[in-house]
Amino acid sequence: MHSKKLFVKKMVMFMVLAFLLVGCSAKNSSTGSSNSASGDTLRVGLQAPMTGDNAQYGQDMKNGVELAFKKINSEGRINGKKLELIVGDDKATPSEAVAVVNKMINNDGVKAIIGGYNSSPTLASQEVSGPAKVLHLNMGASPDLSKTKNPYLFRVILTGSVYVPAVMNYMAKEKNVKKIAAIFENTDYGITMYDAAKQSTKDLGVDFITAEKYNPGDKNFSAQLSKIKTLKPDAVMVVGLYNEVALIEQQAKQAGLNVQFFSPDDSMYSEQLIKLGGDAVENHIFASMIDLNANTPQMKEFKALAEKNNVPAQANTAIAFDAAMAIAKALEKGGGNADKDRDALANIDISGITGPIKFDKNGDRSNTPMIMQVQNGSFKVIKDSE
Amino acid sequence: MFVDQLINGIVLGSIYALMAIGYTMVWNVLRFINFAHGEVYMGGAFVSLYLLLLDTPIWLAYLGGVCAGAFLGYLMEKVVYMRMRKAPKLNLLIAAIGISIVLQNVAQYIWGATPERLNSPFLSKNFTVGDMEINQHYVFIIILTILVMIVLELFMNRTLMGKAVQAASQDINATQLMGINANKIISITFAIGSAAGALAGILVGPVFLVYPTMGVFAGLKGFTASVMGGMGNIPGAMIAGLLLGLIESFAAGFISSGYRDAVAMVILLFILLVRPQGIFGKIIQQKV
Amino acid sequence: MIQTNKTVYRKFLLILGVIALFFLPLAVTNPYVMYVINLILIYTLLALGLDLIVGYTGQVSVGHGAFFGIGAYVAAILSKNLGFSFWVNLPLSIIVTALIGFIIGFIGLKLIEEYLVMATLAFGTIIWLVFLNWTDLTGGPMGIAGIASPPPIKIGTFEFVFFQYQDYYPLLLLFVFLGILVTRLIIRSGFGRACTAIRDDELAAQSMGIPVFKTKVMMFTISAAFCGAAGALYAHFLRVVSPETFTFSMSVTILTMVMIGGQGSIAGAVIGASILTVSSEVLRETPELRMIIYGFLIVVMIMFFPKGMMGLFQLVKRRLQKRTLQAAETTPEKEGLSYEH
Repeated sequence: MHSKKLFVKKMVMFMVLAFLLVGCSAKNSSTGSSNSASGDTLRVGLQAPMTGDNAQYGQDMKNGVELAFKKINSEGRINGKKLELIVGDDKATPSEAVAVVNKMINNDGVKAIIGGYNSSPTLASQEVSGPAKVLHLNMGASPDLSKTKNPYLFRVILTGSVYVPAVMNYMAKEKNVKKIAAIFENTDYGITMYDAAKQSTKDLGVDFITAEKYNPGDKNFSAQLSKIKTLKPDAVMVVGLYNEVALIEQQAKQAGLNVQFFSPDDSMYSEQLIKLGGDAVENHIFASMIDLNANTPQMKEFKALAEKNNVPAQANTAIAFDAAMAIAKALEKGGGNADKDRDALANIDISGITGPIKFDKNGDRSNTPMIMQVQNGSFKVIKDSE
Repeated sequence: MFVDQLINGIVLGSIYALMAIGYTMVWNVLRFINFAHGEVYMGGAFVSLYLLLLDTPIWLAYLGGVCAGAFLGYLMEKVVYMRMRKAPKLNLLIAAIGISIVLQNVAQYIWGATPERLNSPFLSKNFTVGDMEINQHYVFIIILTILVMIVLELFMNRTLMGKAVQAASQDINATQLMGINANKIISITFAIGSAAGALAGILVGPVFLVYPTMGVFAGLKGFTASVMGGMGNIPGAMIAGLLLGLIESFAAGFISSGYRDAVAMVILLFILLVRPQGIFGKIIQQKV
Repeated sequence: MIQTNKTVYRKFLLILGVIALFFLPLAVTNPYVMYVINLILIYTLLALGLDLIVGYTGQVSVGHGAFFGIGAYVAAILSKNLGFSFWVNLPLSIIVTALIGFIIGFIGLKLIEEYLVMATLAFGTIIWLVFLNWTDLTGGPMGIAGIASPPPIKIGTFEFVFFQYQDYYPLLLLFVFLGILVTRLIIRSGFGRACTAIRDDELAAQSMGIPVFKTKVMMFTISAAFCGAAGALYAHFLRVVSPETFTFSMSVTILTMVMIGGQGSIAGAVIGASILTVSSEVLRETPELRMIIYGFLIVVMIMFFPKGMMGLFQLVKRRLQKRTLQAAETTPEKEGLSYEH
């Protein structure tokens, strides 16, 4: 009799588990299997890190895209069609990016993809979206993203080869820095940014005395920092995202390394930097394509919209908002035909929060960055864009 | 550079030592590796962080985190492991990993994946000794770890409860025959080990931040330290933890920081193959 | 007489089923579903490989994710740096992985039970750290992207090209069938029986004259080779490899597949791989809860079905048999009916 009880218990458990899974898949089929656009909706994918160390960036981007879609859907839609966002978590890793972009294109039938945030996952996933002729408007900084020859790949932020000279110039001319130590993320982003920085040193009379690497997700930089400390540099260039930049500068202060820190781009432009870094990130200098305190009508409109929807107005939120607006414009003009959509995006000319949005033949924007600094716990422009 | 790495090594080592206690104590009574122990480290730190957001005084928030960690360990045992006493060890291992996946993602669901800094009253101040600067929080970590070690030693050797735990680690079935409630002992073991793990998480929170996956590598290191010290040997685990921190820190400073974690794994292998009873362990004949 | 007829009939059905499986892409039009099916096939190969050492030999490894990684990276590096095609990379991947498996087995298999678990964990983590830090060769955290797909195969007028997921499917299926065939051959051989003897009682096996250590190392090497093959297929299928795929959690995923399917069973490996892959993909629809439910499923399944799904099926089968027997005893007039099944 005991075995019978056990058997019944097991069967019940099995049924419960089966129902749980079926329940989830039923939800899947109700939203997912209606392949591609069903009549009056247009699907756009977001490839971004939603979990893991970089999840904050993904969340900011999602907020930005959702704001833009809300605005468009309430104001006349796209040729009568509603925009629908499909979020794909690439976990900031190449293989997951390929898997999720695959799913968004083949299962959800997205017409365009916004993201990814990190360079390496984007370089990997554009190999899927390119042949599928899906527009891919990314936010990676690596100069390698200009060299893919993928006509469907565009980039909403500036390329590293624009950012780097701007900040190097500033450091050499205004701050009279001669010996620089570099500490960079060991990824496409970090390596190519460091290479670009190194190339620009020849004309400026500055020198990189050391280059230390770290892997994304590292939290302990004591080994690299104590090496840098013994070399006594004038300044330290950090190429990384806000988590790492904040930690590196904090740990540098703990180790007694008190020099000027700077970054070549705005990847760490986030309130999180100041929240995590506190006093340690004070005076940090970086090149940026956006100033959230700018006094332009677009910025005001964006901030009002963000406030209304209870969304924090972060730099990445604003950039993703611009990306979504550009994609929407292209989809409206192209009318859903892959090639026409592409041409529409290639020839786009609108003014967004981040200035005029235009793409060159590599799919890059050619705006010039400004130089910003952390002062008294907030981000101040110290040199305007030219 | 040398002194820098020495201090870093001792701080890291203290954390590993605290983590190792949990692995070793659980091994003592149940003879299995609780792979979910790293999540206790994470859970404790998150609860402290949350309490601080509610404007709790710092000492109370830290204490709350430690208690929450102990409770989490207790809960794991009661809900899952206790029902699997007769299952093969491999099933327990998989269950532990399943728990670990659940807890990591529950933490992410509740608090988000963004790393957060736990407050510490000492973090922004440095002691200056000659031209050396030592962060006060580091000193705080070291002092607290030594304190925990002393208290744990006293508990194990001077109290009846501690002696019962020791007896259980020799032979849990015999202990039960002697009229000691084995389940209670196991629960206490889990709670104490988890409290130490949670404390480790809270102490590193201000330095290496608090995030859902923080326990993965800390767990692996704590586990390595417990093997180094000889599985089941509590003082051995603590000393081995310190040693591991020092070796790692010097390897990172003078060889390569990328392979910092590999050092621990190489040591683990070496110990397993050459001295499976651990640096401080006694040889126990394999029972057939 | 009836018995032989039945086995022939069964075999015929089996062959028919196998042939039908190859034509699955005709029925499945959604490329994403095809992608998931392909993933299941790769995981099946991995689970089959791990089951050889865990299920049939009783030695637990939590380092097989690293072997999968070695296979994938060898194929990726050869394809990217030397331009070798898939058909060259596959055997090379298998050889390299088997070699490394042999070395690790030779060092590690002296240990038993939990100590073996720890050693394989250490080996797996070291190999993963090499993937992550040897940037010149492996691309570090960036991994290697743009691996060439397998070259087209020409058989007479037919040409098989590999562009879309349904093109890969027959290839992967073929390798899974090969894997199943090899597994069956091994476990039915004297060598396989020696392994089972070691699993059931190592000491007894030794006293029967089985060279325990040698047998274990052999099986470990074969098991690693399976993962190497899966790795090469994975690299050429997904066309990108990056280190975070091959961490400890991959090793655990494979082990969980074996456990949940049921150890020491070919069908179990297939079932385990299918359950975990499908649930992981289905749960993408609720991204916030995905991993929570996934972890919960693992805990509950391992708690309530310690012998996996195959254990459950056997339980059901035994129940049914008992019931039919009981029915046969109480109602003799239905005797004929119950024997027909």
